[in-house]
Amino acid sequence: MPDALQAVLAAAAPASASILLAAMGGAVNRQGGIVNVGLEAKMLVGAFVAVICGAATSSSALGALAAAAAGALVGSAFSLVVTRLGANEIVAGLGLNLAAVGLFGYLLPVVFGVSATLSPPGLVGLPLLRIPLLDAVPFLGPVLSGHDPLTYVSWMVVPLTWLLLYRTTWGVSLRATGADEEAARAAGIRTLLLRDLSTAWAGALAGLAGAQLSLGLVQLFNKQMTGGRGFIALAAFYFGDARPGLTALAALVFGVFEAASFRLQGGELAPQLVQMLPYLAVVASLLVVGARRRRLRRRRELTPEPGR
Amino acid sequence: MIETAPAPLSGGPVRGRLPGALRLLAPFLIALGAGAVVLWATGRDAFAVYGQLADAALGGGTQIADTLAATTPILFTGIATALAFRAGAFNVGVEGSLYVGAFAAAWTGFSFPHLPGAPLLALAALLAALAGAAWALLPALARAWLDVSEVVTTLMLNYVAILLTSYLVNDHFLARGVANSMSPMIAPQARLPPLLPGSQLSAALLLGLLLLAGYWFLFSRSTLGFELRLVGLAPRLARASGVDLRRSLVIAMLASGLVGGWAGGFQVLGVIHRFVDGFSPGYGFTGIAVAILGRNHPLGILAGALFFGILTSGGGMVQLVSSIPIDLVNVVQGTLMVFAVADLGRLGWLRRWAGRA
Amino acid sequence: MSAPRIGLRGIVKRYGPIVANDRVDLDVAAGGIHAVVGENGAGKTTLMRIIAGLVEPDAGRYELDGRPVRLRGPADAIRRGIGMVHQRFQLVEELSALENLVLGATPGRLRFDRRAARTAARRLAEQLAAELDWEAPVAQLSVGQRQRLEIMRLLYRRADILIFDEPTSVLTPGEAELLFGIMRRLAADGRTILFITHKLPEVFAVAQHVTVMRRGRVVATSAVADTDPRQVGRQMVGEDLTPPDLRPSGRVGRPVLALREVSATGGRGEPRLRRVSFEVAEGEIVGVAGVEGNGQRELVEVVMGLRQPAGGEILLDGRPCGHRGVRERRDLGVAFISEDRDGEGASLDATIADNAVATAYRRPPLARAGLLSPGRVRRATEDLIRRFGVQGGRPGAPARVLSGGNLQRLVVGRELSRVPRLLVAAHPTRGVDLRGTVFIRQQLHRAREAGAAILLVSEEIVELLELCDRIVVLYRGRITADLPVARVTAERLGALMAGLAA
Repeated sequence: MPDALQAVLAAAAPASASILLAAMGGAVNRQGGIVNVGLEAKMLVGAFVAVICGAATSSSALGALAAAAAGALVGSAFSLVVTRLGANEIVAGLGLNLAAVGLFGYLLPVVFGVSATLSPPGLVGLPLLRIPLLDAVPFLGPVLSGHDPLTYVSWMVVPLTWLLLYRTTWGVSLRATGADEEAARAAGIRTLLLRDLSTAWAGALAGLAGAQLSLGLVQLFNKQMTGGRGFIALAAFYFGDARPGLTALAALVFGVFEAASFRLQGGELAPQLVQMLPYLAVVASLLVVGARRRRLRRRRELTPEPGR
Repeated sequence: MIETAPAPLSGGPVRGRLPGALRLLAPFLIALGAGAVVLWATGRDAFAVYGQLADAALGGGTQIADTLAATTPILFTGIATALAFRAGAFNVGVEGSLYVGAFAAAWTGFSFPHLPGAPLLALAALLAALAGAAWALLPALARAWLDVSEVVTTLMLNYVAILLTSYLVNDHFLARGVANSMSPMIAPQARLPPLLPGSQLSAALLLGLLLLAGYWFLFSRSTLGFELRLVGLAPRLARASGVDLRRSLVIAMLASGLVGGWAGGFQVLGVIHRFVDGFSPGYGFTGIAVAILGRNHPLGILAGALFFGILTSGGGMVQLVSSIPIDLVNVVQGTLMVFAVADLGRLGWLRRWAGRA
Repeated sequence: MSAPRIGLRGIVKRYGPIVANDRVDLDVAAGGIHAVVGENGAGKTTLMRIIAGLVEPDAGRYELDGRPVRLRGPADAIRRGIGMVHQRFQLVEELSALENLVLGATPGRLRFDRRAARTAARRLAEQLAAELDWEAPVAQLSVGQRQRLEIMRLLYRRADILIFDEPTSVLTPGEAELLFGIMRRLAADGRTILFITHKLPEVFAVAQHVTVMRRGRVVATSAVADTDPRQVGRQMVGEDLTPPDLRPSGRVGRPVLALREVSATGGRGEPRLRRVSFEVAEGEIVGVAGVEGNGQRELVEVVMGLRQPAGGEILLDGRPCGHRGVRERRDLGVAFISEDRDGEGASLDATIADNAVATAYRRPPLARAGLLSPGRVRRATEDLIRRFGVQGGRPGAPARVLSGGNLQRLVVGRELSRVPRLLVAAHPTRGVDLRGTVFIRQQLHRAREAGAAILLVSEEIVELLELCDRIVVLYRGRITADLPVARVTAERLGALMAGLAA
């Protein structure tokens, strides 16, 4: 049993890295007041650009950087439509996802002559890093060591996000923008610009998440390789109320679900039922929060004035 | 800090307005333009491809029939979405209702092969409607009583529906002897009659048009429709006038889910005749675009559904004939969704240009 | 003499057909408290928003220390040292007090230096002799604390002109005293304070100069030492109003609405109505007098069924109905003119016809058996437009095209197209032009003479004295007086509303 657990956890670390990266970006974006439904598209773009640039430069690091840049670019464009043209972010996000899926579905056969999977020659994956001392620790060693660099980046992004949101003026202004845009604008904050920057940041992290999929987990691009991870990231930051710690925790737990559901294939418990869990968790948590808020409100409203 | 409502679909501060025709057509032009850019960038003649596409979709009786067949599920999801939008409920969960409705219809169709045609069809339609409505129930109640935004709950439940039906068909109702992930065929008498033999067009289209007429009637001739519309347009006025906001919201969401269930159910009964894992190419999401582009107006919904029907069926033919992947259609549709909700009137230069032209 | 700190020359601001500021001249000397008084809709707030850079004037000159300036938004104003304490605080409730203090103040710096911020916060708090929990989210602060935080925020940004927009309307008397202390201290430090109010005792308590506005114009500016409350009161109301005779005929019937010890609480659980009891009878207008925020809104909501009472009984024609919803009450003959005109009263996005039938669409002749007749809806709307003199739009046009006064005529017409058992009218003439005001008051009078019971909530003393049979005064959620109108004078009513005398 410990062996199986260790195996699941060791698999969960890289499996959750892309969800974690995208969710942290989404959380920042959410704090700024935009629900980013288009993370999926930016991950897909990142995955594609990482493979193309990685192969062209024979460098997985350059591939990952290009993926982040591409994600930020797509994120900025998306943001402008939302912040400057007043587009509803949910519908626009769903549209962006569809357009991205369509674009790669078209490009792969037309430009690259493959139906769904692209693996250009010269493509190098991300190396696996063994961390010297940690490696030797029993049980934890294999869980924490021996992953691709982007998995470690995903871990480092968690405290970075916290610092960004709570220890920079930028973060304070961003949170103010998300909580009460009118008040923030009255305080002289350029709220639209901040929103755009937060969406670009979310796009960059989603792009990195894509690169982790196409250069870390595997070394190829498939038009369906994101497989709903953008939405699981959405589930994670919703479940975590867009707070860095809780969001990260949710992303990691969802990563464990995913790693587990792979191992369940052909087993007794259907993988679909496990894959449902993140979505159900979000719905359940929203209901719990709503119910608690309602109870609190009712208690306040119906308290008669203390006797006089 | 969880709930901040997304930008409204309409209304709000309108900074500037484009002339009516341009406002309606601009998203289509931009979307077709985006598709054209992709085509040109990859060395294809966009005009030729669009010409082929139109020809393949509209160039003859069978082609038109197939286009109408492709229009049918989108017409249903468009109506379903518009029902909710009109009442101010942001239901993006029609896709989920569609899946459970489709499964319910298929299950009825293959589980009661001894029933005669009419009762079997009626039962299948009923269960599809119930399943679809049931899928919208929880988000509706959560919004009405707990003030939990329906956007995220309905969005999340889409994936639960897709996974749940996938689980059901793969683990419990797998057809013997076929490739993966399909249920058994429904009984022959459970099939909706075809309208034009040799095409995929079935009586589901007529049901969709009937439903559209009902949608028109509801919102322009009934007090219930007036109430729902008032709730969507002016919730505070509605409340002060005596409308029960919760009741209206739940009614609209359930009606939306119900029609969403039919969208899937009639696709099964009319076209695919069984449940297929992941059969929908996003009909529910297309319905969102249709409702928005059609401004929730019956004729607008019809026109929007036809546009996507043409795109889908024409795109399918072009793929067969000239090996241009149908995925291109998704580029156009996705771009269309983005710009359907964008207020281009905020672009001063566009406004000025339109004013001069 | 040196140039005034602020100088306004011929400032004009129009909102559609309404002239909010009409060739306004104003000089404010540096280092003192300058009060601006006037009735609702006199244009005080618009003028202050112009000074604070929130609104650009259509015409006129704006000078600071004698030099003309053109402000590009509130951020530009604050850079020049001008800040405004709004009636609705511009604080972000989810953020801590400390974060709100520094919000947007140091755009060039990336690091949010909590230590430095806390030091500055403590120094400011000392300066104002006001302590608060800097780490608590603003949502947890009391109203007075929030207001002090707003002030400190402006001082943190080195504002030396502070504009207070009716700052005491949300405060308890104790907190108001605290605020006056702060204002005096700020003025003593050489800062310039502009103070909007309509409570005259406050003017004479803290200000050195007072400017009176009426109908968008400055009527008078004087040193407080050279004038008295009586004179300023006369200047505020003016003599240009010759009211039609709206005296009640005095035929009062059975009670229609009765409140027995009704209590209600606000969003944070604070008591807003405390054991309120009174009655309104057929053929009677009962006025609820009080300065905004003393429980009027809650009273109206409780009577309409828009809010659950926390205790007590509400009777309509003798039947308890505290548990009934809005629709049931409307079916019993209750009509409602809401103070929230663009929201509860009407919707600017909906068509004029939708607005006109929003409360009657279920009844014959408009509807039968759930079926609505569009033709009858249109005819009913046209009828209403004619009868109530609504100008400026056809039934199919969005209500947005109507002016404020015409929109209110539409609402009044809708609610009075049938004589109601009970009419709840909240600030029915607020912001309405003179002709519209007279018309609406006549309609209320006519409804009363037709036998309706009317509950009229208003802040306008003239309106209350002109229309009502009886007046109850609501102060801090309590009924502090219940008097026949014959026993009330304008001075006495003003004092009662301010909570001064009993």
